[in-house]
This record gives sequence, structure tokens and C-alpha cells, in this order.
Amino acid sequence: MTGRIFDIQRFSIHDGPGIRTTVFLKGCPLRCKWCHNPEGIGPEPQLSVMAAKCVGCKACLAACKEGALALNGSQKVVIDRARCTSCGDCPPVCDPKALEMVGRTATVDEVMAPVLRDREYYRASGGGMTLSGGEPLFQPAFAGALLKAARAAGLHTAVETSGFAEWAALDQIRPDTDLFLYDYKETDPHLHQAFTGQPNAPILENLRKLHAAGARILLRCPMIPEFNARKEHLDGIARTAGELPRLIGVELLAYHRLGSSKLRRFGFPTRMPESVKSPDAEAVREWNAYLARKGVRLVNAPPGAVSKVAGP
Amino acid sequence: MRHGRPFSRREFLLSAAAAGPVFAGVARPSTPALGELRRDILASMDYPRVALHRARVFTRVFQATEDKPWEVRKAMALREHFRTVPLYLRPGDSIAGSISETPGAMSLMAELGFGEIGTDMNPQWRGYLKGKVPPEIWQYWKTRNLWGRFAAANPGQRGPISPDSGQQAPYKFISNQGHLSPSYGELLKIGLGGVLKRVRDRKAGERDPDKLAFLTAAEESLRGVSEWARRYSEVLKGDLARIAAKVATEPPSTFHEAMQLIWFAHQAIHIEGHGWSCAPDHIDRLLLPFYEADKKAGRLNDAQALALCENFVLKMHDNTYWGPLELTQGLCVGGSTPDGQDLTNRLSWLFIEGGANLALPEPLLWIRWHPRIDQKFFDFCLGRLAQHTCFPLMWNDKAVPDGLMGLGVSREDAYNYIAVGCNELAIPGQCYFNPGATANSMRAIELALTSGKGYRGGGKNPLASPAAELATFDSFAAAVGAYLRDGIERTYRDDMLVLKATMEWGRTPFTSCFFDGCIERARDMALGTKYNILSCGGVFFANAVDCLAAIREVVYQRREATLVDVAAACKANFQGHERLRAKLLAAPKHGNDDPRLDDIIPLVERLRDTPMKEICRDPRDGARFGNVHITKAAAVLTGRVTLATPDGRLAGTPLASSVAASAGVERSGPTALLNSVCKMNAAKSWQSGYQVNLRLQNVMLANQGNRDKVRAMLNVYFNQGGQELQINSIDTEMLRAAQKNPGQYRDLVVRVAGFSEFFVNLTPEMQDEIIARTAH
Repeated sequence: MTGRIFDIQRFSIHDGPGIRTTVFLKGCPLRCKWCHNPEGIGPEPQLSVMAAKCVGCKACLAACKEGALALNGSQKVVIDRARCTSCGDCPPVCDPKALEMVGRTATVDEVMAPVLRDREYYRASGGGMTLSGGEPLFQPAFAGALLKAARAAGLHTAVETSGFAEWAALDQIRPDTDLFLYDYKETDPHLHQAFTGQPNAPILENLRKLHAAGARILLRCPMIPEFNARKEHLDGIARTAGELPRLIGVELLAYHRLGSSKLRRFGFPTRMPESVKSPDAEAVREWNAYLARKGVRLVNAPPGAVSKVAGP
Repeated sequence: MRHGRPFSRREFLLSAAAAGPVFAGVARPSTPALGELRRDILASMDYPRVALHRARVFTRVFQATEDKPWEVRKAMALREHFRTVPLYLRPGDSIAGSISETPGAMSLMAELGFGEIGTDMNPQWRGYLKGKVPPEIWQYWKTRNLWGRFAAANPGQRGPISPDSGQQAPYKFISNQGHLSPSYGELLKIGLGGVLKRVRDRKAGERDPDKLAFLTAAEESLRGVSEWARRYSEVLKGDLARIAAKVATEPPSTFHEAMQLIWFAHQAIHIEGHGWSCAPDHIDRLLLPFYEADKKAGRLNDAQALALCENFVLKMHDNTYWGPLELTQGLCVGGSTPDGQDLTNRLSWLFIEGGANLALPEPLLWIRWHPRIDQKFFDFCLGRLAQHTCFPLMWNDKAVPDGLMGLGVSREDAYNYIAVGCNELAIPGQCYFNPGATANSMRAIELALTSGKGYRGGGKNPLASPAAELATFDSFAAAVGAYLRDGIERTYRDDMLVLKATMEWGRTPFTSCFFDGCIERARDMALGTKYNILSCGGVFFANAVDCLAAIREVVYQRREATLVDVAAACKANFQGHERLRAKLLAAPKHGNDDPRLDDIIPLVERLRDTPMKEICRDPRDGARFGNVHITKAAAVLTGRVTLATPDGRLAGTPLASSVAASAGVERSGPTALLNSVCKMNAAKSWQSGYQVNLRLQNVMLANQGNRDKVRAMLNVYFNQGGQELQINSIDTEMLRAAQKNPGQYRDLVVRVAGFSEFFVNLTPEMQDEIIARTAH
């Protein structure tokens, strides 16, 4: 069994309880305008450039059949994205790893080897393995195999998902998943379609089914100024949470602009207007306080927003 | 490179007064008086001041006592110094006893040697001794002090330098060895008078002239210290006068008295000559009975105890050996018994609290982690670390005692270990840290690559096959080992000559009174302590691992270059060899938990251990050496003069400042970094200590939820045998801001390697090196 991943990040501490290793699976059916992991969108490996690492040796120029590579005035490589096909010919000759294919095919064992290296840290902190992406359920069989392997090794498992998947896929990984970090991006169906490129109806239906099936679910809501950071959306979060009594809670994730610089590395245009800034601490506190007043159980809320902070 | 003008201590103090608690590392003394005292102390440490009273007295006494044994003359001079040195007390100071007659000044140790120190770290102060030493003093001592006699006895070795030369001197020739912790348990029970009585009882009927000389010297110096304390009682007022008069001879009965007595003894040890890296025993344990008795009697509350702990920390900062040049003092609290009982007590908490409140770069604060450490205390320490930004540093009871036991130390004594100095290991009153050889793996790799010539030429005869004939990685490693052995042999030979001179002219009868068995045997500690553990100092372990790994992968596995190519590339600083450099950089790097290094790590340890075990023996009792990884400022300073290295590092850039990873190569997170360190064999190959730097964003420790995860991670690291850990808890953004606006960040303390410093006082390249260490 193989699948396509683009990163394995050890000492992840924001994607579930304790110290975790997060495995990022490639491919995503959504096109969120605020995407912070753009390298996870496409299912195929993509060429990424980190100019700072380039030593100006020109080896890649010779390797490129498309004539898509050149050195700029600072003797750093630049990619002509119009010509580049992400064929993968240049990274093997790039010794300083300025050019890299983001995304690689890996077996379950290849993924699990580094994951298991931190087993003692998971044990001591109540942590484990988290699958993220992209959308892990874009590769349902591979995701399922990883979760089974982690479970067999006695690890706590978490899956970060948009919920946009076949119910059968979700249902299949459910028994091997200790915690779902389930995204709730926009309440208004039209806006959801506009912001993410997909409808929210199937996502909500899957959420209800998953809840009914007894899964442990934490609802995670990205809060994006000028997009979904509105009272109506907060009301929608509160309403949905109210309908799901066994929900662990709701966590608000404040937007950060890191994704924009990453987009540039992959030659994508930035889709977020420059005017959209990371919200300040006061705004985040207010959103949390608003939900708390509506009786929503909040997770990882900033100090002062709610009297008592729950943990997953 | 030009050194940016650092902020003087005076400027710093002024800014500290105005600075609000906007970031970690800001001082919050527990009383306004301590805040004033802190400012007063820092204001007097704005440049290196030289105190001459000690040198004048020593010259006079030595000139008048040419016929007496050396150690007796030293003790007579010391006593005369204590009887005549002008006394002062800073306003608000509740502990008496200063290192010299001038606030913030350091004494010259005329009977040992003259020379500047600390000017590599503080180049703007080079020449601070120029014109300060009266010619008649220099002329008298030139051939008569330790350094002069060493040079006369060992022609061809390093000779004394004039105090006007502006040159930096080796510390072993201008001070005693230090790097020790005396044992103060008995002192607190019987007082200085009791110790004096022991010496006199031992002396009664003794005929052996050598033993008589030691005992006479011990007696003289003890009397001198008592007289010094009594003189303080005459200039002090009220309770402070009463305390000084009492502890001049009698044992203490209260917390304050006990602290004052420890300080008098400790300061006297500095003045005798051992002030370099000198820790005051397990102070939390020693003071506990006094604290508890005072509390029970209603004489002391925790606020008062905390104020005294802070006063003691300030006292250590104020009276360090080399003034503002080199501080290297520290306090160690907590730890366990051999059967695992937690020895952390209320005073351990108060010293950590006090140290964090004062936000000083020194004295260092250490804790000893052990499997049954009170996790509440550990959490408290990590929370205070977020506030202070780098203290406490941590040693592991699960790793250190095993190493010492492997060198013949009893289990009970091994568990009594303490951290001293920059960050080395000792046992109070039983053994101290003293390097007696050096293993420079980087130089050995260079020589193996160049058939013994070195990149700059000038190397001696080849000791292994020419580089072109080293057909296998094993043969290359063996060649590195051959050059390493040669280096260890030569440095061992030289260091033993210095040790021999120290045994003759570096005796310290007063300090010896606080080392087990010296009084009974009537023999100075220089001639041997309970355990004599000399160390072979290693440097740049992580670079050595990376170099060997890169050479194995690029030269021997992928066959993309030859050793000769690598040598040529290093020599050229990779100019025209960019692709080769990229290949070397792409090889596995230590610090990332890479299984491809699992055999290289023990190889680098073995290449040093094997010859060291064969060659190095303590000349006093034949004891085996331990190993230590020496870093201190060497990572930057040595890096500056080191050519490019086969791990892909460019010439002049920093070498590894910890054993965990080379500069800027770590990219797999803190768990991978700590796992990498745990692949090293601390008990077998690092008995005298190594240093591990870990940078964490401040929010990782300031936020309780994150701190719980970090604490869990550290528990795993120590349980897996990690020996030492020092954390810097500062955000990269803050460091960059401090570089841009130093005026707003004058209170920011960072851990450099073997020492801590105000960030704004570092050279720009050192600042860059700190920033380059990956933050998680």
C-alpha cells in the first residue's frame, strides 16, 4: 500500500492532544481562498523553489528539457511556471535542495518509521499521530491503512478533515480514529460554495452521521476576516454545536497569512486580498466570548474569553 | 571583524530602571532595596577595574619570608591581606564580604601570574591591564610566581607575558584552577573556630616538615578569614555586626548567620585564588535546617528568606573573579539521593524564584532532574525559565552519577555531584573539574584529508597513509584516529607539566580545609583530592559527526568526489566547488534523529575514548580521565579562524555550540534533536559533561498547556539518558528586534554556550549565531 504525502511534522502540538506527529496527505477537493497548505491541494508532486538555498551551480538548467529554469541577477534559480511541467527532472541534480518536488509516494512503513520514533513522547504526553492534508480522505484507503498501523502500534489517532468525502470513506476510518478534527468553514451555503468551491450540505450531513455513529469530534472553525468572521456565522457555529450534544467542543482557528508566501513558492497567484490581515488577540477573544455566552463548549480559547477552558 | 560597542553596565542599569515587564528577562527584585542594590552592582561593572591591595600585600610578605615554605608564605600573605584590606558595604546589602577593596574590581593574583582574561569575548576591553601593574611588582614576580617558575622549569613552553602586552593569558597561569565546589557541611556545624581547632589538633605532635607546612598554612589562613569577619563586625551596624562577629569563629544558629558564614568562606576561597567557576555546595540542602528552625521559631517568613536568597545571588554576581570580563559562577539546587528520594526543598523553590526575579546572566542556576522529581517543581522551573529566558539549566541524575561511578566514584558520592563553572561537573569537597588533555576532532579530520599537512601546510610528518590511498571509510576513520591520538598525546604531555607546576606553586591551604581528608592527611588539595578526575576536553562533536557522515556518503558510498577533492574544496572555501559543497550539505546531519548516523556517533566517541584511555592517567594516583565537551565561546571564536569543513560549513562561520547539532542544520523538531543526543553514550564517553542547547519559543513555556507538553518531552529526554539540557526561551522576532533596537532590550539575557550574557553585549556575529539556532 502506497500513498502520496508532502510532509511529516514531528512535535506537532496544535493538532490534537499531547505531542503528535502530523502526516500531511496530498490532494484536496476544496479550493479554500485562505488555504494555508497550498502544497497539499494537487494530488501530483509539484516543483517548489527556495531561492535562498540555491548555490548558483546551474546544474538544473542543463537538466531542464523545457527551458523553464534560469538564474536571476543574484545568481539564484527562478522558474518560468508557464513552461514548467513539474516533470521532476531537476530536483535530483539540485544538491542544495533549492528545487524540490513537494509530495512523494511512500509506503505505510515508510511513513510509520519516523512516526514511531517519537512513541515515548506520545506516551508521556497523551499524544499520537494526526493525519492532515490536503484532505486525508482524498486517499481513503491509504489514510485507513496508516490509521490501522498506528492503532496496531498503540498510538492515539486523529484525523483533520474538511468532511467533504464519501460517507463510506469516513465510516471506514471511523473505528480507527480516536479524534476527528472536523472543519466547519462557512454556515451560508452560497458563501461556502464561493469560498471553497464546494457545497456544505454533504459536509454537514457527514458531520451528523459521524456524530450519530459515536465518533469523538472537535469542530474546528477557521476565522477569516472579511470572509466568514461574521455574527451570522458565529450563530451558525453555535446552532450546529447545539445540535450535536456529544461534540467535544469548538475550536476557533485565527487566520494567518503564512499560506500566501507558500503560494509564491509554488507559483500560484495569491487569492487573498492584501487587506485581509491576521486578526488581533482582542478579536479572537471576542469571538470566543460570543460563543461562550451562547453556551458553546470551547477548546483552546485564549485566556479571559471564557471562565473555564476545556481540553480535548 | 569590528566589534559593535556594547552597552556598558551603567547604561544597562539605567534602562533597566525604566523598562516595564514587556518581555521575559526583565528584573523584578522582591524588594525595592534589592532593586537598588542590583542597580548599584551593575553600575560598578561597566569596565574591568583592577584592585591592587592583594598584589601589594603578597609582594611585601613574600619579600620578607624568602626562607619559608611556599604555602606558608601564601597563607601569611593571605592573612595579612584579610587584616588590612579596606572594607566596604554597599547600601542595602545584608551579606558582608567583598572580593577586593574597590566595588566591582578584581584582584590580581601576583603569586600566580599576570595577564588579561576575557578579552576574546570583550575585545573592546583589550589592554585593560596596561599600566595598572606597578613595575616593581611585575619585576619581583616575573621569575618567582607560578607562571615564571613554570617557564623556568620548562624551557620551550609558554613564557610569561608582560601585563602591559594586552594579550590574553591562559587562566591556569593567572588563577588557581577553580571549577570546584567546596564542602560546607562541617563548617556550618563547627564554625571557622571549629575548623581551626581541627587543624591545630592535627598539628600537635606532627614532625614531618611538609605536613607541618600545610597545617601551619591552613591555620594562618583560617585565622586571617576570622579576623576579616571580625573587622566587618566592627564597621557594620546592628544585627549585621552581631552576625559577622558571631560567625567569625562560632557556628551559625540562624538562616541569615549560616548564609553569611558560607559567603565569608566562599569569598575567601575566591580571594585565595580559586574563584574561577566556584559553586557554594548544595546550598538549598545546607541551609534547610536553619530555615526550618527560624520558621518554627517565628524568626523568618518566606518573603524574608526569598530576599536573602536574592541577596546571595546578587552577592555572587557582584564578587565574581574577573569582574565584568568573566563571571562563571553558579548555584545548583534539587536532586536526589542514591535511592531516588527527592532532595528538592522549599529553598530550592526560593533560589529559583529569586534567580528569575533578578534576571541576571550569572550566577547560573541549575537544577538536577531525576525520575521522581516533584513535577510541580519542574513545572515551576519551566515557568520561571520563560520569565528569565534561560535559567534554570538542567542536569540529569539518571545520567551523571553513572559516568562518575564508571571512573571509580562511589555511588553515594556520585549522587552528590554538583554543577560548577561554565557548566562542568564536580563533587563538593571531593573532586573538581580540571582538563588535562584536548581532543580536536576537526583538526584530526583536516590532517587525515591532507596527508598530515593541513590546509595551510605546516603539518608535521604524516601519521597515516596519504589521503589518496585511504580506500575505505574505515581506513579514513583510522587515519583520523591516528591524528587525534597524536593531538591527545601532545596536549596531555603539556597539560601535565602545568599540573606539576600547580602541585608545587598553586597550593591553596584555605580551600583545602573544605576538601575531604586534606586536614587529616595534612596535604594540600593540589596534591590530590578524594577523587582525581582530570578531563580530556573535546570540541565541536556535532561538526565531527557531520564531517565523517558527509565524507562517508559523498566519497565512499556515492563516489562523487575523492578525499583530495574534498580537501581542495575546503581549502578554497568551496569557491568553484559549489556542487560538491551542496552534496556535502545534503548528507545526513546530526540533530535530526537520522538512523544513518547511528554508527557514526559512537565512532566519533570511540576515536577519542580509545587513545585517551591508553594515554591519559592522573599523575597523582593513576586515575583514569573523563571526557568533557568544551564549548563556551569557542563555537563562534574558533569558528572565526577555522577554514571550511567537510560538512559543508563555510570558513569563518560558527562551529557547533552544543553536542546536539551543528549551526543551522537542525530541521526535524525538538523531539528529533533530543533523540539524537540520546544516541550519545553519556555514562561512557561524557563523564565530565556535555552541553545541549534547545531553543523554544517563549509561548511554549509561558502558556500552561504548551508547557505541559514540553515538560512531558523533557521527562522523556531525561528518562532516555540525556545528560544535560539548557533552554533558551526567546522568540526569533524578539532577537531580531533586539538587534535593531538594542536600547529597548538591554535586559535580555541569552544562553550562549558555556555562559550567559546580555544579548546586546554580544558581538553581531554571536547574535546571528544565537538567532540561527532553530527555535521550535
